[in-house]
Amino acid sequence: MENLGSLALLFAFCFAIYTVLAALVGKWKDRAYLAVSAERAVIALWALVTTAAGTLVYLLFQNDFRLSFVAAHSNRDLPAVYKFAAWWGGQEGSLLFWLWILSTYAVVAVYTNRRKHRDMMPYVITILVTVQCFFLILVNFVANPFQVLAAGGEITAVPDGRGLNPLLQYPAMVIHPPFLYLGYVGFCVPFAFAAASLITKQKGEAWIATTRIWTMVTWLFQTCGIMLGARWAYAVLGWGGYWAWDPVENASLLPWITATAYLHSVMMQEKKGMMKVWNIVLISATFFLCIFGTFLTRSGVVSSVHAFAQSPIGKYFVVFLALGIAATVYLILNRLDFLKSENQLESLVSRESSFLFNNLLLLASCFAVLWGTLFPVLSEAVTGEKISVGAPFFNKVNVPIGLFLLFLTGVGPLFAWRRTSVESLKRNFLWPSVVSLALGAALLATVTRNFYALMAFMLSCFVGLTILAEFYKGARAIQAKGGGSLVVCAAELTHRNTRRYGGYIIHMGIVFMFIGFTGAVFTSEAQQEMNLGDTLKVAAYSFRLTDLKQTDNRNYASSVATIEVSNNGELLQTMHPERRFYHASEQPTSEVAIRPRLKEDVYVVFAGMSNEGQKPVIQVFVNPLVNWVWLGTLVVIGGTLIALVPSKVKLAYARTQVLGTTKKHEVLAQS
Amino acid sequence: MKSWHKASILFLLALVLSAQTVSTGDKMHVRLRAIGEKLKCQCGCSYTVGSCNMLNCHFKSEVDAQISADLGAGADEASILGKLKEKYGTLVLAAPPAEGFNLVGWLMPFIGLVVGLIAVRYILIRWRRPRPALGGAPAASGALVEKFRDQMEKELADLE
Amino acid sequence: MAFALAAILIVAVVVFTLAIRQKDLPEAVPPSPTAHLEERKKAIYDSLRDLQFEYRMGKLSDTDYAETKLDLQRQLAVVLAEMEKLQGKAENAVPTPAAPATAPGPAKPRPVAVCPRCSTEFFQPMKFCGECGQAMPSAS
Repeated sequence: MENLGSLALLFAFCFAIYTVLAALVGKWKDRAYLAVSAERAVIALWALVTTAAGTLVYLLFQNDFRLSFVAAHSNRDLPAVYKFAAWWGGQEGSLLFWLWILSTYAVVAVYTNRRKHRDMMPYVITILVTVQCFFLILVNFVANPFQVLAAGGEITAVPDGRGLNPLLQYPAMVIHPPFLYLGYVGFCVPFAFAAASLITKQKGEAWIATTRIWTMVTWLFQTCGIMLGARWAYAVLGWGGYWAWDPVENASLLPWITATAYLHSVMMQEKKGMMKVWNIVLISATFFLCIFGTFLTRSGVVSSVHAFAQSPIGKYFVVFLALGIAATVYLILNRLDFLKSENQLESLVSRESSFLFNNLLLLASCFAVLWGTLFPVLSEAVTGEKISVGAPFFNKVNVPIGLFLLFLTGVGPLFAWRRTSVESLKRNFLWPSVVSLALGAALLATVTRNFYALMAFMLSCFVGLTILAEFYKGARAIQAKGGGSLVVCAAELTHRNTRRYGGYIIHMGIVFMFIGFTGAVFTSEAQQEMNLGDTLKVAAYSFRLTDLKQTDNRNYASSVATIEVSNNGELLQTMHPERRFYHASEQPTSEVAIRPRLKEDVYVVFAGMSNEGQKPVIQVFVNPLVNWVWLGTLVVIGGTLIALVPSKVKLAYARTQVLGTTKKHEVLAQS
Repeated sequence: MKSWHKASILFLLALVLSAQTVSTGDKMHVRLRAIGEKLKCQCGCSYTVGSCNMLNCHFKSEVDAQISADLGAGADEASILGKLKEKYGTLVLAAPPAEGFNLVGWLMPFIGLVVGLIAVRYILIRWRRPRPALGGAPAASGALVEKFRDQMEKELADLE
Repeated sequence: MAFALAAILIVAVVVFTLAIRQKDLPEAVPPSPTAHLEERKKAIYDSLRDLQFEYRMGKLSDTDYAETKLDLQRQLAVVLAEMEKLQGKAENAVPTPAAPATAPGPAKPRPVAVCPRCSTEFFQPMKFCGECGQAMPSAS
């Protein structure tokens, strides 16, 4: 069966080369036949890659331990859902997964544009399939998932596999990598359209309108992917936190930051035709950072818990990145004339300049993260001494930048496009500023003297109020005209301009997340070996160990502690932290027990049995406000979904008659 | 330099994602934890010594024991960190000391920010400069606006 | 078994990719010469609409509103004039604007076939050149 997969991949590689040639020759020689054939080849490619992927999944379910990939990442007693997830649990499979998502995206891009952008599509196909080609080289010749185990020229099998890493056997972990990949891979499409529009020198901003949904959906996937990872780290790793500034976490953050910058600055191009070069640079940077992130995870250049084993794959990525970046830079330089923008700024106090600063800060934090991630490599090369760049570095550098960004989140939307007079500013800023200063003073007097925490709370309050004010004023304006309740009017307001008000909701989610991040300053923690009946006190809570149970199943053995949590003598809840030992991989894990509340989480970890006396070691964290991070994520997701709904706009003005009918439908569909 | 250090301690206590400062428990535990947050655990986890949660982690136990002993002897944080650095190499510090080449590591993000600011300033100045419209399109005169005013007002009204 | 499946798959994708009938080719849609202007026009109207709404919300001062509105109207006027010019051209060139095949300038549709000998362009597929009788390259 593995031969089917191997053959499918090999043919997919040949097909990919054909597709690129057909698309390019079809375009240059103006052959409609070849153009259509290239589009169909994209679908054929998908069929071939899907066959290969299906074969791998089939073999995983068949427990075919002749395959080194199956033997290394699955075992007989693994639950079915994790057998499926083992597809992306290892290097080779995850490359195939990447490739499969890309080929699926390519099919969707080709299908949705089958009548549009005829002149651009051959280049879009060329770029998408070139990237596929690169991954096909990897899965065919460097990291083939269908490699069989061999001994003395014979195919052999092991009796049982080593199993999926038990840390990955957690529901959020099943969907975390797919979401992240959907995000990583998705940026190929906007990049392909941007480059194609440059190559063909499109008039106007068609590629932006076409790729708007792509960028938003992809950004959403990436946000979900990153936050699912954080949630997984919080619930599974059991160290009380959710973000360790690990190189691979950083790698997923980098394209997210540039994509966020792009989503903002692209408005400048849509509204005013400004920053054309910059937007192309941003979307290209996002794409290459996605590839770079994939590279970082796989090459072993930087050490990380997430990274797959060290492998020769890094070289291929370096070459691909170098060629891709060189080609893109050449293309942009070559088309600079064509990208001339109508850059004109009416006033320094305007939405335009606030976008410039927003982009500056986002890029600065992106650079800081990238720099910190790579600096150990650089420093070792220069000084010969190994160093670590960890959480203290990233926090020191990114916290101030993050706070400035939060500030801009509040003020940016209050600046009007083109110009804002002092009078307008006063109107919009007075009350939010007064209230947040008052809040700051109150907090300083009662809760904390920590400067950054105070700033974060004050800015969160400020931004939250400005957003609420936007909704309130807008709803009032609609109410004044048409009547109805404020809630209905606010909904109507959002429906009229979903992108803007969806965007405000996303900002609100970000505010919630900042509140949650700030909570980390106030964490309390304690750890103790406990006998039955012992009590541990943390913050206002006391924890009493009342029971300890051992169980065993085919996949893992576990010890479960029963702990009564009480606050001032009042019993709140019984919690069951668990310690597991996975048979196949011989690895222990902790199943954390969490009591989530908006104010604070109680987080109990069964850390293990102590060396002497075999007593359970219980670790307890009280994490204030951490739930606001997850809540904020949900709000961000909701806001993005709202922004994806088309705005309700009456397009009543007369359209020009020269438009072909298809064009007219397109315009209507886009609006 | 002194205030810089003070600032860095403040930073650490700030809204950090991973650092957990302890507000209860004995003072010693709090200080132990704070120092642990500045050390990178070498057990293969990607955390600091403070937050490494591997039970009986050989590295964490060893380092914690040393820190406790030194704290008991009245040593201050800087000297403890210095001692550990000597013993395990710079790798053990979670962030490199701001000296020598590593100073570049610390300064670069801020240099980047400053360069960016200068670039933004330059861009803003350039954008403020009035220029003729691109592509030879005539700047709209009052007459042109007047010519289309009715159409524009009507179409805008229809849009509402 | 696996090889049989592989053979079927490969034949299927090769046939799917290469066997394209004449009717599968998409009809050439002439790019509208005013498409980018329409886009611009829509963007400016959106801005105007936003501006008006923000003014009603009380976010803008009167002078800000008046100045920005005039700015936008100036830009819109340029776009409208440009469109009028292009449309005027289109109407002069073809009395029946319904036929997109004869739109002027950049709107010229891509010929489906070009004679390799005399370079005459045709807008429907032909077996032989209608001008000089040369056999036309097939399938394109």
